[in-house]
Amino acid sequence: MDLLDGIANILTPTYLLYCFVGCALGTLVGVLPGLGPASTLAILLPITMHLDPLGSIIMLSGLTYGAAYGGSTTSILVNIPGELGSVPTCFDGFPMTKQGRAGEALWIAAVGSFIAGTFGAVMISILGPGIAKFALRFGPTEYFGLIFFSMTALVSLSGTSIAKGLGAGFVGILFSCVGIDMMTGIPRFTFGNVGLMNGFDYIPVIIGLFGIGEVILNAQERLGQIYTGKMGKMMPRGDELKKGLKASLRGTLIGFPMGLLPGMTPGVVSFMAYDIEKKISKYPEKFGTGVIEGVASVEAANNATAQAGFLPLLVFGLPTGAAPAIILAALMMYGVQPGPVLFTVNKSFAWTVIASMYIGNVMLLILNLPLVGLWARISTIPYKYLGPTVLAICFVGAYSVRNTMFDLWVALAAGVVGYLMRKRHWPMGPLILGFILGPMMEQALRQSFASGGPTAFFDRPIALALLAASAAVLVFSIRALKRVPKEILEKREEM
Amino acid sequence: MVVNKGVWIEGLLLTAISVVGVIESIRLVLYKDPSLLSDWLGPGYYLLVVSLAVMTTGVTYICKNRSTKPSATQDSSNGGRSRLVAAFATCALYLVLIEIFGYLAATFVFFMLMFWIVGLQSWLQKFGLACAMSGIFYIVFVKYCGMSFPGGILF
Repeated sequence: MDLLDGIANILTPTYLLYCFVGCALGTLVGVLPGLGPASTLAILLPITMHLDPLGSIIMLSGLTYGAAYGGSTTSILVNIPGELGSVPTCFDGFPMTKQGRAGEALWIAAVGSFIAGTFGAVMISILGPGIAKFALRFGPTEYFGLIFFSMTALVSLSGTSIAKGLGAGFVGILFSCVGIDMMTGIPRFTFGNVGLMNGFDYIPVIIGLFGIGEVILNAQERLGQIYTGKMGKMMPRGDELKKGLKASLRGTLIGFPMGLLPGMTPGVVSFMAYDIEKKISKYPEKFGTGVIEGVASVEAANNATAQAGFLPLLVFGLPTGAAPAIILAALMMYGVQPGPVLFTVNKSFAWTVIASMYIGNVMLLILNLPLVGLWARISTIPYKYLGPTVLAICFVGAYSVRNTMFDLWVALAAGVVGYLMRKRHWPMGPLILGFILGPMMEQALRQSFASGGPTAFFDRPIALALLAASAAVLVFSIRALKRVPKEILEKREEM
Repeated sequence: MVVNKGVWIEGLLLTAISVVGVIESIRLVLYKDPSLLSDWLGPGYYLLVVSLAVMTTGVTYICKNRSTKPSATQDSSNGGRSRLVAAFATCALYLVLIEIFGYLAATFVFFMLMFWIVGLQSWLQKFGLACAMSGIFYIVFVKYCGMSFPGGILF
């Protein structure tokens, strides 16, 4: 019933437009190499301040899962992955193009993405309210357990060096402490500076790290050639169709549960899906030569993971990676409290966002099949036009939150840090996760101690179970990351 | 043994941040306020733990990576490096100019310089694009969205 209300809401022209813009921007971001979903969310975030909160979240969500669709187009046609989750799509997608089967590869990538995205939306609709109802019993102790569980992403987002991930994450937590302590009113790390008294706002920091840093780094890049070859027939037939659809289902079943775990971003899971698909195949030696399962499984896993991230975000208010963390910042900016109460206090809001995922996936299917040639062409826009414009938007965005020049300087400083981190292969996901989750974790921990003393956790089985689960996920993440090539882990700054 | 300077700088930076954190947290731990009695951890202990964690990570990072070879991808050409420095300097100049000349004039200068840095050849094209972009930004963000940038001597 609630879902039907949500669908009725989303079918109004305004929200349909927001959803369409989000999906189109997501596809655009997916096809443009060098501009990832997290950076684009960061750039768009302040602009959406002047828009309707529900419409903005629909748009930002569409952008997040839309990027997972768009990334496959340039991977298949020109062997340039638009985003990290589509790197393995190149392995079989581009050979298919060289064999004159580009149409089939694009069709199965879009349909696989649609299957995964819709499956994700269905699972969120089914599981979301039940988990939210259960989570209503959670107190600060359980919340600390949950946030600690999310913090395990610091390890899985670390790339090749866990020390780098942990270092970045802890520094993020430390920087989130700057300003007036929210429980006692005592200034921390302010050194008498008035600007520092207010602390660092999320938006300038996110914009600087992801937007300014990335744009400056990419400013000189020349992009690939437009695909001028033949597409071939679009829909695969017979055995190829069956193989592709089955692989899409397998990719979905791998991607969705993985996407619920902290730090398991599409970039990592798509590699795991490719690896598993190859291992269970009757002809693993053919992988890399244009096997349809190699494209289908990866694209489905990629999308299922992106979609799954919305479940912990909406139900617990916990992000599993950088892009969901920015959507969390957006929700907080609008004064919408994500978490279990969202399904009771802001029921209409939650269900309209979920309903938009069904509609958004249909829109993406339409956007990605007939318009594929247009996206391939757009992917070659030179950065010399795009870069300065995006930079100027970044500054407007950083200023718009609190209207202070201090925030602009913070954004610029964060931009320098973001640039240096990219150059030196320091992961930015942990930094931003620590920065956003740090204050929540501190508050939950101090409230737990205030209510139950240092032994508070021993009387709360759910909190203890969550802490134990964190340890298990840590071990699992470290083992799972061994399946992902080192070069890909090094390139995960975007996540 | 090859000494990786980058690793040392990064590790020492982490350690320096942690030292500031430890000093600040000790100040807060020693701060006595009767109203904080129910707050076991107070504003300082959490900070102290996190600062010590940063310190441990910094030291571990140096110990584990001090003799690794510097990555080849870290090198960039002199031209590329000077363009990047120019881009960041232009951004800083932009922020200074906003306060002096106001948003519109500063944005025009910013676009002119940025288009030059990213390699747009024709001055006419640069001028035209900078005029158009600064005009669009002014109309959209200042006039339409009602954002109030610092009032400079121009707009």
